[in-house]
Amino acid sequence: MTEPLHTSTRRRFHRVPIVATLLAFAVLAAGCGDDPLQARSTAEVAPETTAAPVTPPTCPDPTADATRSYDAIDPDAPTTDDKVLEIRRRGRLIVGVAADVLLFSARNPLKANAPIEGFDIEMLKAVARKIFQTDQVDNKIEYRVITYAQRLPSLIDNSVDIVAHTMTINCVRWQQIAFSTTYFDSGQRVLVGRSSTAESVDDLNKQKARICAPEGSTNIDNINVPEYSDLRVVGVSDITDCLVKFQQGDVDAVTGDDTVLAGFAAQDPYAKVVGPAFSSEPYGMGVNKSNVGFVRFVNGVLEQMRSSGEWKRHYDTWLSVLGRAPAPPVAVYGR
Amino acid sequence: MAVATRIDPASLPAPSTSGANTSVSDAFGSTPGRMRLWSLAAAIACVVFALAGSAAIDARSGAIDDAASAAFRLERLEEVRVAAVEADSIATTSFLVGGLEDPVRRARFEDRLAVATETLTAVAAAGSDTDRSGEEADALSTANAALNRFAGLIEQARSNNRQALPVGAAYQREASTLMRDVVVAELDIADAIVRDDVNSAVRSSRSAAYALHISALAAIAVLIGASVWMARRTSRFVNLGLAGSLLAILVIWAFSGPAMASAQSAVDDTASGPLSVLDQLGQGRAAAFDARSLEALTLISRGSGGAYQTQWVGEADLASRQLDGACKADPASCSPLSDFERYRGVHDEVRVLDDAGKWDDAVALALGTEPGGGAASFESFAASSDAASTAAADAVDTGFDDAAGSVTSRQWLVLVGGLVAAGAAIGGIAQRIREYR
Repeated sequence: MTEPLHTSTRRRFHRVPIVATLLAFAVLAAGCGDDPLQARSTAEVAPETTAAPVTPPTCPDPTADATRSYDAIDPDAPTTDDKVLEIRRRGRLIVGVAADVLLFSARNPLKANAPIEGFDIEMLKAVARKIFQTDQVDNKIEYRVITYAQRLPSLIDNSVDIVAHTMTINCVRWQQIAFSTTYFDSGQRVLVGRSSTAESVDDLNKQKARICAPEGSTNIDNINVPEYSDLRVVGVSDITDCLVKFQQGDVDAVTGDDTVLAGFAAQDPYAKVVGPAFSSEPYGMGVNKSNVGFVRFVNGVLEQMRSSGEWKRHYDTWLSVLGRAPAPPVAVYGR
Repeated sequence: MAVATRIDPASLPAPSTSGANTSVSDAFGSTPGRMRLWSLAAAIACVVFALAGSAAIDARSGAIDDAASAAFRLERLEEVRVAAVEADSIATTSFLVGGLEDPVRRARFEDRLAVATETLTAVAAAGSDTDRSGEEADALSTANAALNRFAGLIEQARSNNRQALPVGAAYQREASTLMRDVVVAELDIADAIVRDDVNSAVRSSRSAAYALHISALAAIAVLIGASVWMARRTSRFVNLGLAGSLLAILVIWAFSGPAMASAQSAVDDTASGPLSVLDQLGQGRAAAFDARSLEALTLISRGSGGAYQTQWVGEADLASRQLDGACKADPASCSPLSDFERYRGVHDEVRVLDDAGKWDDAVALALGTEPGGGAASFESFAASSDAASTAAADAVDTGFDDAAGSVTSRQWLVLVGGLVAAGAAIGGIAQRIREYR
């Protein structure tokens, strides 16, 4: 019996104009007054200034030897080079390096202050020792950790003096920066899971595999070619991010220099490096294109390291996992 | 005085349609008929007052409950965000130290992560029943999944760091990116929905009073009209039934109207006072913890973290603005602002050292636990802002409880009183009608 009574009461209400008026008033009044809570605030971040897009440089003579650098000068002789003198005045050599490429340039959290260590770092320390004419250079090097993609820009805008970052010397890059002579010969290979049947990058291409490589590297350029068009390439900002993607199952393989991949395999026992090197990757230290005198100074340092056995000593310290030390790369001069 | 003519209905022929109109006209055209009309109008006005007034109180009471519930969800969401961002900040800062973590910081990280996931689950369980509840549930579910993935990535980073493997840095970076791009972004979506719920409930509460006041005024107008008409048509100056009804409506209105106003005032004061302070403190804390993470990321980038520093400035400015707003709204909430400004001073020194190439000194200062060190100054801020947030949250709960309690009992007073007033009005006029029989 409750329902009919209830309905009848409601019907009577609807007939009374005042109720409609009240309802209309209430609806109109509903929007009145300020809301007590404002929309959530967001941080105002100044937009990053981006340089105007430039046409990628092209190599004027692809057949020329890209490893040809400027003639070496004696680093122990008195120098008049502006760049070297500027670094001496400043008291610090500013270097661009990686912090996560095991064996070449990686933080060592087991030591106090987690210093960055590796073969690249030894090259830079040798240069610093000659600039400041002292063996104690720990406080004379300012490390700037940069990504693969930041290597050339940081040299072009002079935010670092020199870059040692497993960087391949090639003709296109010579159009933007200058290189030292080769301090290490590497080659590009692929890293796959221990149970993978792929033996080379060609096998991965046939399997239409997902493969990771760092943006702005020669590694990614070497697989973005028609013959590997079936590969599904995943680009990241730093090559170590590739190892994360590999371990998370987001990619099937990683491609990079054999030296870097050896470091990955050392960190992940379920990974293996396979296949022959399908490119030659000579490493050089990068310098701003206008600092030719500084490049010649660095070449002088490398020349001394090759002949004194220092290069081999550093190889044995850091890269013995790659096998016995080969002869140091032969310097090519005459640029 | 008009005299009603009584006719025996049984002596009349069967009524035609026009005959029915005539009898209705006779029934309401005469003085007793008009009395019946006034009686009906007065009864309806009183019943409308009883129903509309009690419904208005019920609506305000319900809206206050909704506002309190939405505010509670907003508080919890802010708690999730602050706990999650703090966990990220601890993990990122710990990475600067290396593989060996400080057990106290490790425990704090575990606690913050547990608070974030448990509170997120609680917020999802207490979800709204508005149109956007599905959207809110989706956002919270995605945030929860991302938070679990964040915990997994941090564990990977930690175990790799423990073995001094550089891939730990990449896991750390991925975890921080996930926190910013997914967890915080999804919490933003839920936050906007809950914020709308609070505002909508406060608006509903504000509009609820009009029904009470208009129905009271209408009932009073009808009862005065009936009393005046009755006084003119009868020899009695006062109709006791109508006067009693009018008095009842006035007394009920006098008791319930101010209570409604007081309840709304309490809602408005709570919303614009402690709730606003709590909101500003929450936003300030989240931005500050994010800034602390960015400081660590800038140092990890070691000299090339310009983009992180730019973001740091944005987050730190946001934190300062919000904390300044909270301080101005409630002087008891000013400690977080002064503590944060002290931390900003230390951060500036850290940047000077890092920019000058003294990275080791910059890290040592950023992690310094002695007075004046980065960790110490930030911990002071974390503690004082936590205390201020807790105090503001208590004030919000008390404010809404007080607002709801002050109106609930009035609902029955209006309903019963209005119906009694209707009975009194009918009774008062019926007494006069009987004199015509």
